[in-house]
Amino acid sequence: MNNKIQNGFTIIEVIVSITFFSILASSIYLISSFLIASNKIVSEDYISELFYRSYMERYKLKDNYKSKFEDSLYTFSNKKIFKIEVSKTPNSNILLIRLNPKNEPERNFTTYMSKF
Amino acid sequence: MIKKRLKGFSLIEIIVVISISSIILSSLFYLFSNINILNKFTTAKTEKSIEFAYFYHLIRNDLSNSVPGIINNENSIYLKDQNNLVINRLILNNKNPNIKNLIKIKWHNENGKIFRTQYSFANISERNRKLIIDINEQVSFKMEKINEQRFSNVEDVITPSVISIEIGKNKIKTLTFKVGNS
Repeated sequence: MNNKIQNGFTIIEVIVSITFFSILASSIYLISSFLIASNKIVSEDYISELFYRSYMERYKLKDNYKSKFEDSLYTFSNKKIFKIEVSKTPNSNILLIRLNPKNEPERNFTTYMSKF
Repeated sequence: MIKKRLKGFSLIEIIVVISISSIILSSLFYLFSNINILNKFTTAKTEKSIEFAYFYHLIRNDLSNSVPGIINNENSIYLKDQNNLVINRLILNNKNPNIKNLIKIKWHNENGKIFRTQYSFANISERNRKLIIDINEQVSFKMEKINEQRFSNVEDVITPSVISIEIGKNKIKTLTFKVGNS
């Protein structure tokens, strides 16, 4: 019995080790794919931010503005839908513009607009 | 019977182990080849994003540091046509940070390739032309708003106060920049 253990592995030992190895490899795959995907998301988010800020800059040129509405724009990746909210500030000549991308509640961009 | 077992695995055991390990290894190989493709795609996209962000900040910086008025008998900031934008801007002197030099910058679009030419302050014929980004789409410069302040008595001298860059033909992507700090 002792000789058997010293000479090699049993089939169960081999299967268990292969299973462990495959779990380890697949977890490495999951982690690395998640990291790669998050890198892509970060770069896309940054580019979309540039387009959102450009939109707000153009919005300031309008003579008439709505207090709340939904609009969309194109970025390199896809069409982005967002909400615009214009609100008053303590200074009656300055308005606050807030842009909220749809389905991204944690992201919002603000700028100020002078009514002069 | 005991002696036989002590020597090694049976043929069936080896076949089972090899078949299981080959299935696992081939699925792992498939997964990791996918990740390699994903990595290449993401790297290309990220590099493109970095290039685009660099282009955005460079032109934004040129426009926000631009100087209004007439310089060398021509308008300081003007759109020659939808492919050419000329900006005279202030730039920090490399030797003395307290001194600012005035330089001429020309942004030029050539079938989606955007070049930036920086002319020397002392010698206008000396220039440095660089390809900033190849967008690979139709690009055009557009004046969004005219600066109402007059810098010249000449009627057709128009200074922009907001400039846009339109990218694409159907799904137009627009970048907008304020000219100067006003």
